[in-house]
Amino acid sequence: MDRHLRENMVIILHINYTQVRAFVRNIFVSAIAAFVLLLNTSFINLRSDKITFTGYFGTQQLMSGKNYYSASRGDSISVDMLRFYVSKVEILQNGHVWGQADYKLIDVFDTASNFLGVDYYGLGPMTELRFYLGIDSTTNMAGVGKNDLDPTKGMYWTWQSGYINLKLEGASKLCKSNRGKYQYHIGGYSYPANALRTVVLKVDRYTGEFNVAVDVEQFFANVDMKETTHVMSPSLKSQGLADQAVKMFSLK
Amino acid sequence: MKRRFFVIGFLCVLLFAFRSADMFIDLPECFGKPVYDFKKSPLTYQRVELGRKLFYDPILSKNNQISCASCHSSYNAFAHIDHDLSHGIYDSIGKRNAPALMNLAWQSSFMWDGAVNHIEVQALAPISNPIEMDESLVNIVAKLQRAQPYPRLFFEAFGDSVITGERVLLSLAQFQLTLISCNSKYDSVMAGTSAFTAQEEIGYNLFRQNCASCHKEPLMSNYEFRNNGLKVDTTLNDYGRVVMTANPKDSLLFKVPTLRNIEYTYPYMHDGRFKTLNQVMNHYTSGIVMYPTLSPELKKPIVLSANDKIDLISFLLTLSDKSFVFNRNFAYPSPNNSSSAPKE
Repeated sequence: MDRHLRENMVIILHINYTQVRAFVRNIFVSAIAAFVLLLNTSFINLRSDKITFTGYFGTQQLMSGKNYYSASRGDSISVDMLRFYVSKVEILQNGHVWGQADYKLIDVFDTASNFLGVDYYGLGPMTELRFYLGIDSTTNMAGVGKNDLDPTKGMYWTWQSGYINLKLEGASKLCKSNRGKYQYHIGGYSYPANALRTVVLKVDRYTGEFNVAVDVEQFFANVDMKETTHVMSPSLKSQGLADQAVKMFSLK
Repeated sequence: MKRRFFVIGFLCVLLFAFRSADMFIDLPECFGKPVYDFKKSPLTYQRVELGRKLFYDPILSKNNQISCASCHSSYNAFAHIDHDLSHGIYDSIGKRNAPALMNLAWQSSFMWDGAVNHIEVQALAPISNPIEMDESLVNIVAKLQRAQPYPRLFFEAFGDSVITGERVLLSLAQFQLTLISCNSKYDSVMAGTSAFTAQEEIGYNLFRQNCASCHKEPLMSNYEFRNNGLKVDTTLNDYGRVVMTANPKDSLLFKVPTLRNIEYTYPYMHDGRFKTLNQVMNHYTSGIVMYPTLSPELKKPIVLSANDKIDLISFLLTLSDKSFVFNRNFAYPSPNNSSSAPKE
């Protein structure tokens, strides 16, 4: 046989061999993919976990305008408004994020807007719920927002740019102000007045639903309500109140 | 086969082109890359025209008497002529001089003290201020829903007639972003299509020596905050940016305004204390008060002879842009909007 022809044949054989190998590998990979897909459809469903926020004063459920006696403060306190943004809401399993929701304005006194859903594919049980209390600086710098971020929602300062992360308003005889009113509008997105806080809640018993208690008594416990009655701008005071606000949240 | 795909693709593109009634507007690229992200919300003819109508409509104020244009007149480069301090609703007098509006896409903060961080939310400040328009965005949305032809205009601009605060603010911003001034004599000299007179040339050199570090070319401002040595007006006690930042270093700092169209935007300074450019010249040569936060550029005295001042002013007048102040697309909208159709 001609030497050149023999070399050519070797090359052809070689190509055929690699093609066969690729073919077998493809079948193998497809089989694994089909198996995984089968697993997905049968075990790993799209879940939509509902996160509901409920107001409390200690052990009692919080009602708008009702007076609650605080033993630690020695007087009663009422709440007319408790609204706040939660953003970058994440559901985690052992440190790995499975589900995420962008943002939601929560009003604990309005059953139509005291919850949000987080969609994800995954297997339970989830071990952690994590969210920002407020709106991050990127969103604050990005101009006008829509839906829950529309400034008509009453959670945006007009005289100075920035979202109000949390509004807590009501009255108490503890306050030195007119008719004992207090108004805490907590916000501020940039140094040195950044009031954005992260809330991390560990899940003990995963049920596919997260019932978050927002206990205002925890907030009032360390606030000088006599002197601090109106906080309505980004400031050191606002940051102190943001630190207190984080303590309100726990999983029921 | 390939041809068939091509035809189908072409038909899809055609369909899309007809479906979207939006006419997109391209802005002149006068000053390089803008701060505003036009990719995120591209300007459309319908939104700009809606914003223009809103800008001139007193419906934005509580008593339906004050519009944006009440204090920002197109014929004065959108400043408030003859008013040192701007007056708003119920004849209230404000604390500051209404700034001229132009080239806003290149600004990263708004208001004399930088209180506003984005043009889309800027309008909230004058709308809500009790001595300017004293109105809430919630009320404006409610009023616009009942006011013809707004539901139709919102439909044309946004694809449905739902009026939201976001859409009101976005439209106002889109109109104001079109307010671009870069067609002055100065611009044509820089482009090489015209030449300064001998006097303007001397004035330009004086400007570059004494003014250009803050009034940076070509926008004629660095849009930073500076204390330019104005004596505190004790009837106003306006300390500027420090109110926003609570940083003592920001005491008496105000935004450096652009010098473009300065001929039309008198009176001058954040409180409108100077009626003429001559008074401005005299302030910089002999009126500077040495406050601790005084801008470092002003610590060394600026020396200008009487002739220098005249020459400098002659240069400043080359910054006037008649095509801007008399642009019919920026003026009060005609009822049928026909005069302002975009030119293709």
